[in-house]
Amino acid sequence: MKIQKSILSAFLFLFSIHAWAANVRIAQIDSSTLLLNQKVKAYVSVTQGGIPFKGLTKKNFKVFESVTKKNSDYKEVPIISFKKGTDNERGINFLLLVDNSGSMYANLSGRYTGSIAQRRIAIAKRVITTFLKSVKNPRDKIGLAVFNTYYTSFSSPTGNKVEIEQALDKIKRPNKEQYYTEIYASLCMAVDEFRSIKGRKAIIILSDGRNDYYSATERKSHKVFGKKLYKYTESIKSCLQEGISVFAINFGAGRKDNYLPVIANQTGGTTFNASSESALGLMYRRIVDLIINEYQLTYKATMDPAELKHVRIRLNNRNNADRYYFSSTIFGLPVEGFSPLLILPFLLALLLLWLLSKMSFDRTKGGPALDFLDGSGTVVFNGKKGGATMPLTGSAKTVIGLGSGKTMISTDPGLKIKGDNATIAFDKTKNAYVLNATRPIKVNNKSVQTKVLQSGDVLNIEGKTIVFDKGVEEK
Amino acid sequence: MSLAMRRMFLCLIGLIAGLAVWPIAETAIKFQANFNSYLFFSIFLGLVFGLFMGGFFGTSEGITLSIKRRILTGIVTGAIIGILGGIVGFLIGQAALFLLGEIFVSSSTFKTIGFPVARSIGWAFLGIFIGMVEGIRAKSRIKIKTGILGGFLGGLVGGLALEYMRLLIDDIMIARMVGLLIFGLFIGLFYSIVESKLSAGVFRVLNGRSKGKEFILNQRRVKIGKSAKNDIVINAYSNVLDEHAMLIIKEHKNDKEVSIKSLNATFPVIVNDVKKDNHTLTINDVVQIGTAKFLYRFI
Repeated sequence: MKIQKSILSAFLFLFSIHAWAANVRIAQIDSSTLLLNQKVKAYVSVTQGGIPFKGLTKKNFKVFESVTKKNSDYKEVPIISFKKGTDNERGINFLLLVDNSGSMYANLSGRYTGSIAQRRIAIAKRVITTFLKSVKNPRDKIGLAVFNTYYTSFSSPTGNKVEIEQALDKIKRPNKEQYYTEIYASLCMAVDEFRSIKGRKAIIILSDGRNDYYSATERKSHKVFGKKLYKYTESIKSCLQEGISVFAINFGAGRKDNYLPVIANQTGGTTFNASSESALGLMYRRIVDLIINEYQLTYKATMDPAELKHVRIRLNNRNNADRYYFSSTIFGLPVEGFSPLLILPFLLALLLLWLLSKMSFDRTKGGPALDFLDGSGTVVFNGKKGGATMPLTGSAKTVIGLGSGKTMISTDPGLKIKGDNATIAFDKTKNAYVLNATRPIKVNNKSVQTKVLQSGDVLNIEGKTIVFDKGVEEK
Repeated sequence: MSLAMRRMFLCLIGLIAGLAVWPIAETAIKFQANFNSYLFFSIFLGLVFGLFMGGFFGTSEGITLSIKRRILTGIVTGAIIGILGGIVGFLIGQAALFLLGEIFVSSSTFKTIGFPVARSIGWAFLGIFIGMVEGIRAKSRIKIKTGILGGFLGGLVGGLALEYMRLLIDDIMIARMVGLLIFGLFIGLFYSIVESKLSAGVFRVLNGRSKGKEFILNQRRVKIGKSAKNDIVINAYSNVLDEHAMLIIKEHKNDKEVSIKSLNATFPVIVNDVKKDNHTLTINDVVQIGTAKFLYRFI
C-alpha cells in the first residue's frame, strides 16, 4: 500500500513539474450572468508545445481579481465550479474562413504555377476535406466562407459536413477586381454567420497575406463597403460582441498581416504558421483540440468598484494568464474620502421643494381688463403699440376698431377710430360692462351686436382672441 | 400656471430632484464593496434613486394645482412607484451597461464614445421608469406613454451630458453633481415637451383666481370640480359642484376627440353660452362651469 502511495505521489509530483512548463491562456471570459448571480466563467486553455495539457484539476488553478494591473492588488477569489473538456457536450461552432485572393493561386513558395494541385488554394481545400472527416463530435457545426475583395458565404455553421465539402468545389478563382485581401472587413462579416448560434464559437481564418484595401489602392468605392476602410479593432469588437475566438493560420511564404495575431490574441484565440500541407492539416486539428480541451472555471466576482476588472488565472502557482471584463456601474466610481457636508445639498433640495410647495399660482387681485391671447397681429392702443393685457376703467369707453387689419383700441375720446367698431363701456344701471358693436361680432363663438359681458367671455375680433375679465377682488 | 411656466416648473423640479439624489448616490457608491452582489447593489441604488426622483416628481401635480393634500399623496405614490421603477430601471440599465460595455470595451474610442454611449443607454432605461411614475399614479395610458418617451429622451440626453461632464470636469464628484442636475432637468424638459405633443389640447382658465392656468388634456378622463380629488380643481368659483363635469378623450387613428359631460343633470355645463349635458368640443369653444370659464385650444 505504501509503495502504491509513493508511486502515486511521485507520479503527481512529476506531473506537476511537467505542468510548470505549460502555457496558460484565457480563451474567453463570460460575464453575462454577473448581474444575475455574481458569477464569471473563464474558458482556459493550457498547452505545452502547442498541444493541449490534459488531466488538470481544480487544485491546479487559482483565480484572482483586481481593479488595477498591479500584481499586489490581485485578490484570490473562490472557484465555484470546474469543468474539463467543456464544449464536448454542447459542441463547438466553427467557421472556416479561407483566403481566396489572387496570391492563393501561387504555390507555397509564392510562384504562380500551372499545376493546380500545387496551388495554395488547392492545398487548403484538400486539408479542409480531411479536417471535415476528422470531426467526430456530431454536435460540432462547421461553416464555410471565403474572402478576397469581397466576402462570400457558402454555409453558416451546420452539422451537414457533406454540404461543406460540396461548397469547397464552388470556390472559383477571383478576377482582377477580386484580387484584394479584405481581412478585417471579412471578419466583421463572418460574425453575422453566428448571430443565431449559442455556445462556443470560433473562426479559423486561413490567409497567405496582409490586409489589402480595395478602395484605398484602386481609389474608387468598394461595391459593398463603399469608402469605408475597416480597422482591425472593428474585427475585434465584432468578435467580442458575439463571444467568438479567432484562430489565425498564416499560410505559405511571404509577408503576413501584422494585426491578425493581435485579433487572435484579443479574442482568446492564437496564431499558427503553416508552410506545408502536412503542417496545415496539423494546425486545423490542433485548433479543434485546443478548444475541446479548454477548462471552464466559474468563480464568484468581487464587488470592488472598477470600470474594468482584471482576471488572473494562475496554474500551479507559477504560470499566469490575464484578461479583463467590463464591470462599471451606472453611477461610476466612488471618490476618495467622504465628507458629512454632503448632507447640505440634500437639505437644500428639501428646502427648495418646501418653498415651491408654498407658492400659490392663484392670483389674489386684479381689475377689469381685456386679455389678448394670440401673439399674432398688432394691437394699437391709443396710437401706441399695446401689450397683452389692457386694463378697463369704469369711466372711459373702450372702442375697438373692426375691419382695419390691425386691432385698433382707443379709450381716448380725442382719438377717433374710423369705420365699424365695438364699444365696451361700464353700465352703472346694470353694474356690468356692455358690448355694443356697429356690426355683429363673435362672442363665445356666437354672433352678437350687443351683450352684457360676463367675466371670461371670449371676443373674436380681426382674428384676435380677446378675453374680457371682470377681475378679482382682494381677499 | 401657463404651459411655459409648467415647463419651467418641471425642469426646476428635475433640477431639485437631481440635487437631492446626488449626495444619496455618492454615499451609496462609496459602500459598493460592502454589497454582496451587483444584483443587490443595483436594487439598492434603484430603490434610493427611485424613492427620491419619484417622490420629487410626484409633488409636481399638487404644487401646480396648489393642493397641499395632493402634494403629500403625490410624494407617497411617487416614491412607491419610483422605488419600483427605480429598481426595474436600474436593473435594466445596469444589464444594458454590462452588455454594451463588453461590446465597446475593445474599441479605440471606448473612453470617449463607447463608454458614455453605453452608460447613457443605461440612464435612458432608468429615465423611462422615472418618467412613468405620474402616468402609473394617474392610471393613464397617455401619461405612461408620455413618461416612456419623455423619460427615455431625458435619460438619454441627460445621461450623455452626465457622462461627458466626467470628461470635461476633473473632479468626479462635481461632474456627477452637474450631470445629475442636467439629468433631472432633461427628464423634466422632455417630459413636458412630449406631454404637449401627445396631448389632446389644453383647457385654459379665462377668469377668476385661476385665470391663466392651463391644464393639459393628457389622460382619457379628466374630472373637473371643487373637490381636491379632481384632475382640474376649481375651488375659488361659485356654483361649482364637488364633481361637476368630465372631459372624455377618445383617440382615433390620427386624431383625438374631446367631449365634455355634465356629471349632474341639474347643473349642466355651458358651452358657447348654451346649456349642454354632453358636447363634443371644437377648437376655441368656451366652456362655463359654475362661474369659471375655460377656453379649449390646441397647444
